[in-house]
Amino acid sequence: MLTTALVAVLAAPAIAQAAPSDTTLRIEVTAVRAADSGPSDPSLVALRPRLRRLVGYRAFQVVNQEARDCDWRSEAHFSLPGGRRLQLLPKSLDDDVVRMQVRLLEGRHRLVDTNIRVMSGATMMFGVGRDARVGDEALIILLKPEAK
Amino acid sequence: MMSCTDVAGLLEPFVDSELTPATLLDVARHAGHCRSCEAQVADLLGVREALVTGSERAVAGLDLSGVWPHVAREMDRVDAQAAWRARSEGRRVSRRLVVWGSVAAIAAGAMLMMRGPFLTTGPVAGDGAPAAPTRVAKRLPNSVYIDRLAGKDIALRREPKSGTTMIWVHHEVQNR
Repeated sequence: MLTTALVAVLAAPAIAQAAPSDTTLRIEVTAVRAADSGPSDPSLVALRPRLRRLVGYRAFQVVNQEARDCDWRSEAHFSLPGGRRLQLLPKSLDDDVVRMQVRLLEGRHRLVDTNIRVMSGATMMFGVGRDARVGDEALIILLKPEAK
Repeated sequence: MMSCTDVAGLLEPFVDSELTPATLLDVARHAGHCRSCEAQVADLLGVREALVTGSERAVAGLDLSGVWPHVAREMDRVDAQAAWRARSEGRRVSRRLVVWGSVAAIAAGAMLMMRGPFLTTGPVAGDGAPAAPTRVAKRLPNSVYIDRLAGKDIALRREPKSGTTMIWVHHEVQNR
């Protein structure tokens, strides 16, 4: 069988490329509701100008925040509002850059499926919604991996 | 044994050898008995093979004609320096070592230029196919490098000041 032969070829590099077991990976996922008007969350004051430039909306409220340690090469799921979830697969750490697979799911539907490399401690964002010119609300997801 | 649903999200990392050995074996065992999953593995391998071939072609197409004249000039310069040192200090310098050190440095520089850490993908049209690679001048605090991006009605947005990257999905929000 094709797969039997594959294992021999694929297993060797997988074993050789060991996960950084001595490094803890903490991932913080924050769900933010963006709206045209209204008050903004005080915890987002520093981010607000950046968010405004990126998404066009003016008011931002944190609706959900979760931070936890995640295992390397093991899937981690973070629940998001609206039956969505973020499925993460941290793969490796190289020169303070975290490599991971990120999937934004809505039920069984994949909204985004991506492989990214992000600096440890940096924030990557996802947005779900209509353009600020035609929509009245959007969901922003802040993803912050930090290797320690 | 794993089911097709369990394996669905793991086929891609399986082909890329990114799973733990135990999970790798579990996926292989399942695929060994499931024609559908085995076919998916074969498809993914085909895609990977095509990507590798494409990359090799791209590298083969690079114009390196300027590199070797530079190497030759560098060798001449090092030769002259070595001769001067040998005369003035009365010491023998291992020319070959110095020359090959320079060659190695130039080669390393060329390699870095070709596939440096700042290689990233440009905006995505929305069908999931990444655009041609572009270079980012410097590493910003929130720099994110996107190696692969798939999804429907998506766009890549970047905030130049901090380098913050956002993947935007044009989709109706239903969380009220």
